[in-house]
Amino acid sequence: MRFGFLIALIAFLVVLALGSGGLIGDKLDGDGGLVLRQPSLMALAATTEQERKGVNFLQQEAGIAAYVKVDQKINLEQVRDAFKTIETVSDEYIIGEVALPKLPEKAHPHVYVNKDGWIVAYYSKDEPASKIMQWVGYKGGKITTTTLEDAIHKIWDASRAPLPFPQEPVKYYDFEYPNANRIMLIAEINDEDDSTDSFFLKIPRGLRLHEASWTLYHSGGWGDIRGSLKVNDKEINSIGAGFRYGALSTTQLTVEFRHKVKVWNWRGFTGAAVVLIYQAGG
Amino acid sequence: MKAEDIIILLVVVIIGAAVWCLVLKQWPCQPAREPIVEDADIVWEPDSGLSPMPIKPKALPRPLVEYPNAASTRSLIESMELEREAMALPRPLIEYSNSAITLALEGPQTSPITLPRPLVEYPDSVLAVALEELKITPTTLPRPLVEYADSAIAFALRPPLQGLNSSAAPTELRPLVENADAGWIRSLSPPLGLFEGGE
Repeated sequence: MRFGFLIALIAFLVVLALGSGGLIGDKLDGDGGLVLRQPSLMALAATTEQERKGVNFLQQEAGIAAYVKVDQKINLEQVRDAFKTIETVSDEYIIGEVALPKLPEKAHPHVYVNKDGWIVAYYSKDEPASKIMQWVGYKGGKITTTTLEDAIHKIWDASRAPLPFPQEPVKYYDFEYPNANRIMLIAEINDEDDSTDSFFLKIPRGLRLHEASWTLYHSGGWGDIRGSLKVNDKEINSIGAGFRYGALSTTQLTVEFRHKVKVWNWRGFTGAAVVLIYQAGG
Repeated sequence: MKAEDIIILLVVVIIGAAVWCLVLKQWPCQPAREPIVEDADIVWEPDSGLSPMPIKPKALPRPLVEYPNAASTRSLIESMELEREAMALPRPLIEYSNSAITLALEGPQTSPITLPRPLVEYPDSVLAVALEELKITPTTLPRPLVEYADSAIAFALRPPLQGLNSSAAPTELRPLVENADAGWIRSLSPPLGLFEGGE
């Protein structure tokens, strides 16, 4: 009797283990046929070829990234001048920092470009992903670009390639969280004096949230100008003018709770954004 | 003749006289009911063969009019006959009117005839229009009841991130966002060609 029970228990545990493995395995993306396939360990392992191309450096250092593959060779000498600083350079690739107009230095993205046509703009893994929010030139409405995309276009423009920029949209990836398959950006703006604007955010149970970060921006101006960001009436940050970035902890964004994100403005223009890196579908 | 015979004879005579009066002369005899006329030139005899006078219709009470230049009396029956379908309904009493007409108030054709309707009497005109539901709103969801508004419109509230550069399927598990000004969702996918070292 006991032996039979032991056999049944072992069989149950085996089935449970196999089922868990299936849940953690690759999932199909639901966005119209695009299949997200995690890079295998073999692909992620540093090889001589990858070292030669500097890819292993990306895997070790990069966090949120945007990339594009153009169908032509890139002259590295021509794009060299587009970098503010060069961090690594070889015959195959260049890694450096690209300055974007009116953005503070802390928000300048890194860019990897190789002569095969790969352009990867990224922030390091210890930087919040909210740095992708491009406040410069944004006055509200649809968000059409990010700082990473602007950096890619800057490198592309410097290459003076004869062919036009690829029609397909720039793709995103987070090297720090290979299992994450979604990035969400939520923006709130407020340009009324001494007023508060807000939105609500709820993380459903079952969604695996890898990273949550915020950014706060104020346009500046004359006089005592301020803007602030609050989550559930707790002040996250306040600003006189310029750009702020930071991370939200899991205790600040508990699941199944309707979090209220408030943006207060005093003169000028205050903008706040929240960026979520998460895994949808298992 | 004996005394008894005489008595019997008297009784017979009395009985015969009584029978004569009662049967033949309708006793007790009464005098004639005709008036007694004396010294008249002509006396009308009741047995002259004239028929009884026809019974005249009883006259309706009419207003007393004194010293008018002209007067006319019309019957309202003619106009009433034109509206026989309305005869069964109670009607207002109209007196001394020069003319009158009764029109039946027909039910508006655009409104459902089975629904209860307000009773309207003697208006100059009447119109009923069925209140149709707003076609742009979902019919299955409960809605606030609005009465006497000049105009109205209802919009369905959708998640703000839907359709804003979102590459995520609408049914997948994702953070719920309300009232945000802008945003988007994008897929994260590795640069496989870069990892594999190929084009």
